Amino acid sequence: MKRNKITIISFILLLFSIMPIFAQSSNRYGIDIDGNVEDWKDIPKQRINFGWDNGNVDKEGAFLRDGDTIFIYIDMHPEQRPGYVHYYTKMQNWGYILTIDGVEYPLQFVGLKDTTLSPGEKRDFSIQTAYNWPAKEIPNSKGIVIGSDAGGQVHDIVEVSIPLSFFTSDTNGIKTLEFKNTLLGEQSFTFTGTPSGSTIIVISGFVIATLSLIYVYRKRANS
Amino acid sequence: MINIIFLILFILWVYLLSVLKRTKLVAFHFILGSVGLFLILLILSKPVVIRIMSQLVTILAGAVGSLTQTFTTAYQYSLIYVNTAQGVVIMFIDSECSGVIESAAYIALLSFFPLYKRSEKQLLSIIGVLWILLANVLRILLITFIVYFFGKESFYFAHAILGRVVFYILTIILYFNVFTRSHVVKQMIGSKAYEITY
Repeated sequence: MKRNKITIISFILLLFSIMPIFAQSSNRYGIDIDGNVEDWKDIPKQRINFGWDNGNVDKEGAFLRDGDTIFIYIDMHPEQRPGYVHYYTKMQNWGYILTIDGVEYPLQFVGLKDTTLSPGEKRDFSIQTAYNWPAKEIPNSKGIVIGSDAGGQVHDIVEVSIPLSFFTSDTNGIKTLEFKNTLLGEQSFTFTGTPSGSTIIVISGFVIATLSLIYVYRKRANS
Repeated sequence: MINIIFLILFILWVYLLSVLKRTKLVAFHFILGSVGLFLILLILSKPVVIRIMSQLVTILAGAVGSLTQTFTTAYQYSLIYVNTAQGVVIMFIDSECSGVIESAAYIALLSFFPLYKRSEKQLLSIIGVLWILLANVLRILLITFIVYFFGKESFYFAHAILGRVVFYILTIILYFNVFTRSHVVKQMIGSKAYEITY
C-alpha cells in the first residue's frame, strides 16, 4: 500500500520534471504553405458549386483552424467530367469573406496571374483585408497558387495560411469561424468547437460530493 | 522554471495531505486532495490523453455517422464534418469537448472520497469514465443530427443549449449515484457504509 503510493508520487515527480507543462503543439495537420499540396491529401475536401448549375462547375476546398492560424485550400477544378470542359479554372482573387464570431472580414488574394498557371508553375501572393478601407495586407499571412493538370484540365490550386492574431488579440476566445466566397459557390465552411460546459459540471460534482460527505459524517456523529 | 514550481507545489501538496490525514481532518483532506489531483490530472493529460479521448469520441460518433450516413469524420485530426444545405459545419473535438476535464474531476473526487474501499473506487472509476465518454458521444451525436436535419443555423441551439443540458443531466446522474445515493441507501438499510478508507 505504502509502496504503491511512493511509486505513484515518484512517477508524477518524474513526469513533472521532464514533460513540457502547458506546451502547445503547433500545426497539428502538418500543413506547410510551400506550393506542395500533398500535405492536404488526408484533409477532407468539400465541393463548392451552384445549385442552379447542377454542380457542373465544381470547385473544392478545405478550411481548418489550428490555434492561432487558419488554413485554406481551394482547387478550381477537382475532376474532369466525361465530355465536359469548364472554363473557370483561374483562381478567383476576390469576394472571400472570413467571419470571426459574427464579424465579417472581406479578403482578397493580391498578386495572382491574369491567366491560369501552367502545370507545375507556382506563384506567391499576398492576402489583404478591406475590413477598414484602404485594404491592408495581413502580416505573416502566406498564399501560394499552383498550376495543376490533375484530372486532365489545367487549373489553379491555392493554399493559404492567415494568423488570427491580426483580427483579435484574444485568439483563444474565438468560438466560430466561417469562410465563403459566393462567387465560387453557395456553400460556406464553418469551423467550430463544441465545449461541453465543463466548469459547471466540475463545480456541481465537487458540491455534490462535498455535501454528501458532510451529510454522512453529520449523521454518523448524531448516531 | 515552470517545472520546478510545479515540483515544489506537488511536494507541498503531498506533505499537506499527509498532515491532514494524520490529524484526521477528513473533509479538508478530501477537498485539498481532490482539487490537487484534478489539477495534476489536467496537466498530465496534455497532450496525449486529450488526443486519445478526442479521437475516441470522434471514432465512436463517426461510427454512428457512417451507419446513418449523416456525417463524416477525420478522426486523426478529431474533426467531424456535417454537410448542410448552407455548407459544411466542421466540428473540432478539442480538450474542452473531449470529456477529459469531466473525467479528471470525477476520478479526483472519487480517489479522495473516503466512503469507498479501494476496489470499489477502481471499479467505479472505470464505470464513471466510460459513462462520461458515452454521454459525451451522445451529446456530439445530438448536435450533429440536429445540424444535419435542421441546418447550420440550429448549431447554437443544439450545442449551447440541448447538448449541454443533456450532458449535464447525464453527468449529474453519475455524480449523484456515486457520491450520494448509494450512501443514503446504505444508511437506510443500516449498512456499515461510513468506514474511512482513505
